Amino acid sequence: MISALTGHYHRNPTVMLWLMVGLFSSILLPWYGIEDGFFDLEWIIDGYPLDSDFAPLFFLLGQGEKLWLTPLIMPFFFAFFALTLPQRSSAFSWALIIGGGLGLIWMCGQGLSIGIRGWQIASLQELFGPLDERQFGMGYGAILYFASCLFLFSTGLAEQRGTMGDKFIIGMICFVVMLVGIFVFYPIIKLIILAFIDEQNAYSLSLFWEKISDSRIWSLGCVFAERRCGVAWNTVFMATIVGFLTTTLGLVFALLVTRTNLRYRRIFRAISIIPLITPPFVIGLAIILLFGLSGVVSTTISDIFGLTPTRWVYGLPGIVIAQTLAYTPIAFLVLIGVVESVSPSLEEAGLTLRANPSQVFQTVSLPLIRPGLANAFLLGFIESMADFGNPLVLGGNYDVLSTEIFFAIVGAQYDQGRAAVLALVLLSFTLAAFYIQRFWLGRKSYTTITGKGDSGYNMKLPPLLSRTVIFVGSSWAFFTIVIYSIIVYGSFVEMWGLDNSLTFKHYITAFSVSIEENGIQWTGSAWNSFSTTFMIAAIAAPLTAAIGLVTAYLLTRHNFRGKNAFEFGTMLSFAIPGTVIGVSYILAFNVPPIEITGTGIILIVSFVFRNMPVGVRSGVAAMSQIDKSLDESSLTLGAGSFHTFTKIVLPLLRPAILAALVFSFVRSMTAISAVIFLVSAEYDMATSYIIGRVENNDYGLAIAYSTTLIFLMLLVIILLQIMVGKTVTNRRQAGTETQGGLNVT
Amino acid sequence: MSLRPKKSAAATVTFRDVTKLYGKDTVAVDNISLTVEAGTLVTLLGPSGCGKTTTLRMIAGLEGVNKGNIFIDDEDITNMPASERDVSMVFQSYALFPHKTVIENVAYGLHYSGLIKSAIPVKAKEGLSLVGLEHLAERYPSELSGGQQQRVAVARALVLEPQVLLFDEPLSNLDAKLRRSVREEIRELQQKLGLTVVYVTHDQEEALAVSDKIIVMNKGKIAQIGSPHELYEKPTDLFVANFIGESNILDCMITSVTDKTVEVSVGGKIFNIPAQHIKKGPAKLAIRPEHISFHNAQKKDGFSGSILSATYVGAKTEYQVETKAGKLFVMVASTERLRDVNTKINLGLSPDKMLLFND
Repeated sequence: MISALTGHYHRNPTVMLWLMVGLFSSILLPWYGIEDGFFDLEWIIDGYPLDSDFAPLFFLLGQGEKLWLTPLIMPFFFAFFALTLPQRSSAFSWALIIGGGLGLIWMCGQGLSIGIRGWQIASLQELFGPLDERQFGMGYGAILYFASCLFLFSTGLAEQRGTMGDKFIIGMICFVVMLVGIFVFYPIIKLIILAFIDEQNAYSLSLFWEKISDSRIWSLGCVFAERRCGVAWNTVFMATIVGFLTTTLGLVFALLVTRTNLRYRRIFRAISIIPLITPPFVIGLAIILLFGLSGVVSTTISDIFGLTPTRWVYGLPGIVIAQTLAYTPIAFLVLIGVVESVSPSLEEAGLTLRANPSQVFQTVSLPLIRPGLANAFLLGFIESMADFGNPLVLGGNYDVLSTEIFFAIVGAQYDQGRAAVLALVLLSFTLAAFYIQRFWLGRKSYTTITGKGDSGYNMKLPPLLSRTVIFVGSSWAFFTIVIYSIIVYGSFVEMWGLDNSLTFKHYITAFSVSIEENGIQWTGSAWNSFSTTFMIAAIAAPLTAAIGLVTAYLLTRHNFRGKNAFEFGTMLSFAIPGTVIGVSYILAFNVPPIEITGTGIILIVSFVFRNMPVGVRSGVAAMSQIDKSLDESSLTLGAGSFHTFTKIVLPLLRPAILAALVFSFVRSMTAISAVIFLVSAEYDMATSYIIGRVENNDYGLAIAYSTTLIFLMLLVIILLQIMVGKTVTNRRQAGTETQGGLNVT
Repeated sequence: MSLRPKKSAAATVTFRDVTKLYGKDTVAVDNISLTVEAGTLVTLLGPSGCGKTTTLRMIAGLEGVNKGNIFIDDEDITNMPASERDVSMVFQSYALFPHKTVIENVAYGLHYSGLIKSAIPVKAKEGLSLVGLEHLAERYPSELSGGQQQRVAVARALVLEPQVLLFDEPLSNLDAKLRRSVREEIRELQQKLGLTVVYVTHDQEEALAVSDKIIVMNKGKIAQIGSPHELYEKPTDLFVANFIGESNILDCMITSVTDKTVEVSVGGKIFNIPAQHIKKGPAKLAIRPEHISFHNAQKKDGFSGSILSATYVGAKTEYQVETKAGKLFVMVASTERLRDVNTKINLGLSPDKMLLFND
């Protein structure tokens, strides 16, 4: 047997490898998840391998327990059978496809239908009678077994496709599809199902209709009567205003930086970026410090004019101001790309055809920018809808979907069904915007970068417009600076509005350290959440970058059936608001087969899949700069696609990798919307800790903590700039001449 | 030098009824069969979009095959992945890895060819010396001139001692002067090492200069296979006659066909030309511009016409002449006296240089 196997090893190392992994995982590793935590190793001395809590698959079956797992042995037989067949024969590939597929299907089927309380699906209980046994979430054994089935299956698929069927590539495609399926689509499906379920666990369309047509969601009372509008309209209204404002200001900044002669216009670039690294609700806090009841501006005005300060800022005005500050940078980044890519020769052609600068701007430049404007609007719209921190801090009586979802789950009502329905409403809005952005706008873009160097300069703005742009841009930049100064200053104030003396108190409370006999004691109240956040973000960042770049590699370098759907699936999570992710993750991962709520893993997973689209984007952008013939020459020189990816593509992608790393690190540090559902006592995150302080009116500590985060992030970004900057210049020195050689076709 | 690939490494490439589709119904390569003999340099020549590069990439394994089989010697490699084929390719863009030095580039493929580690640098160095670039081993590709980059790409492919070496338009990124010397170097290396080379180009002069055999392709099909001399002198169809070199294509009428001669009427004149494979009836006549000569106006055996334009291009002068048979393109050595526009002239066409094709 052994000699037969080693003989086959040379014939198909991939099949051997995954067969071994499968056997190893089902003979040696605990099948179910360990209750004490994923990394806890006490099980080794605690009854393993016979105790059914820790037993591997074969030990379970051998003892006659969990017999519904028996069919999981089938894939091994198929894989052994395949190894006896000649390679590249159709029987060989079918044996693998059927074997691996059986394992995958049975794993999903039994996992979803049998849970902690036996049967999870009523009809199955009727069919087979009640089940005495129960099962927990997947553990090491089950996970590795699942992976081995997946890769046996993908190897079979690869064998079917002949020359172009590369095992590594098809394996990666299957792997990414599986991950996105489990961590993006499965939770959403759970969410949808929950919206249709009534209290008796039966499906009910009428109940769903009742819930979704609730007047608390759709009422137009604020238009036709002196009542409040439904939460859905509130959200749409808010997002529309914010989308419009961020787009306008983004355009102003983009024009200011690229089309005026203002001396210090580079500073605007820097200023406009800072909000990107700020936890969004921090701006909300600053707004309170300025315009709240005891805010600087409010009290000053009331002193001068003798007016009583009002709560005007709590509600729509406050949210809009805060979100506009927070999301203008996104519009700016989109629009600066668009404005810069308007070919100078088009504008020059307009000028030589006797149009004056302002006519050219109206008839040539602006129409070319228009699709970019729509794009920026939709991004602002999506971000505003998805935002959770600012409405929570500033919302007052103005309800929006994201906060309503939160209160439905966390508040006294604890109504998962209502949360699910609200989440679906929010999700359909953002998906609609996302759909429009990708499929409608996708075809309407005129600005294409041809790669042929257009000589000439973009036209400067006509004088009147130029002055307006400079005025609006400077005012907004000034406002941003005031906001950030207030944040920094506020962190040193004893008690804002009541006792304005300066103090280090908040920093000490949060970050004090004492040195005692038994070493350093982290006595500050923030250290716990701070270290958790740092650790989780540091783990999530490389995973995000990795899956993003692998996906980008598959998208740019390989053609396969269903590629468009694949791309759509990987980009989709961008349009899923954090609150929706939060709710759906709780619903999906609270119960077997994947039981990870309350752990750090669920936080990591949620970050990885939320930030994945950005990793994909930056990877795609970077990879399309690298000539495909580099990959091909590596292949013809005898390196397989795995080595081609690691030795050629990855080293050339270093700047993109760093960017993806930092981006996902920053986003993980500053995210709040999904996190607030997923944190636990053990794994508290910085942002949810800060929000907790805000809810207790402990602004000083909250702001001091936020300030620390902002400076930490600035540091990270500057470090990155230095590293990437070096890489880029190196490449340019090394790359200028090659470029000519590489790109001429 | 130990690097000389043994003559036995060079292999024969055979295509048997190979078809390649892009998408559902765009035919890139249409049912072609061909053989590249071991140790020869064969050029795939044709206009852009004729399928020549696709054919080359199918040998490399970079494109799949929809129908038919490809063999290297007797082994069917149709379904073998690119990285397992004993084939190397020199890319049009050279595709040198910008993050690796010259010597690292050359050594890259050796890492995957089962060579013992200590042999790799030695072998890579030998490869570089083959193209005369040992002194640039530690440079990065971007620090080299275009011609040097090209040689590195060749060395990188050569060190693997492949059964078949592929060139995809290797000269298109070089300036005109360099092209001639590089193509001579490639030809010299190929002959010295006895390599099997498949070479893609759209430049017919380049093809004529380097090849043992040329395969002319048109619209995914093979138009003609032959030696440079055969293709130029005996094109078997109108496309080849027109694509290789330049030809005047005239409408004509075949009036009689015998074993020895063909009688053809063109522009009101009758010519008796040596037997060709042709049917009676309307046909096309091709004649190269250098096979038409100027006669004195008194002679009556050729076409009479008047000169429309005269272009002096150095060694030769090119004329457009309006005749009864249509506009004729004539090339005359500039050592002859230059003639002005509108001059009346008599043209002599040598019958044994005329080629006839049925429509």
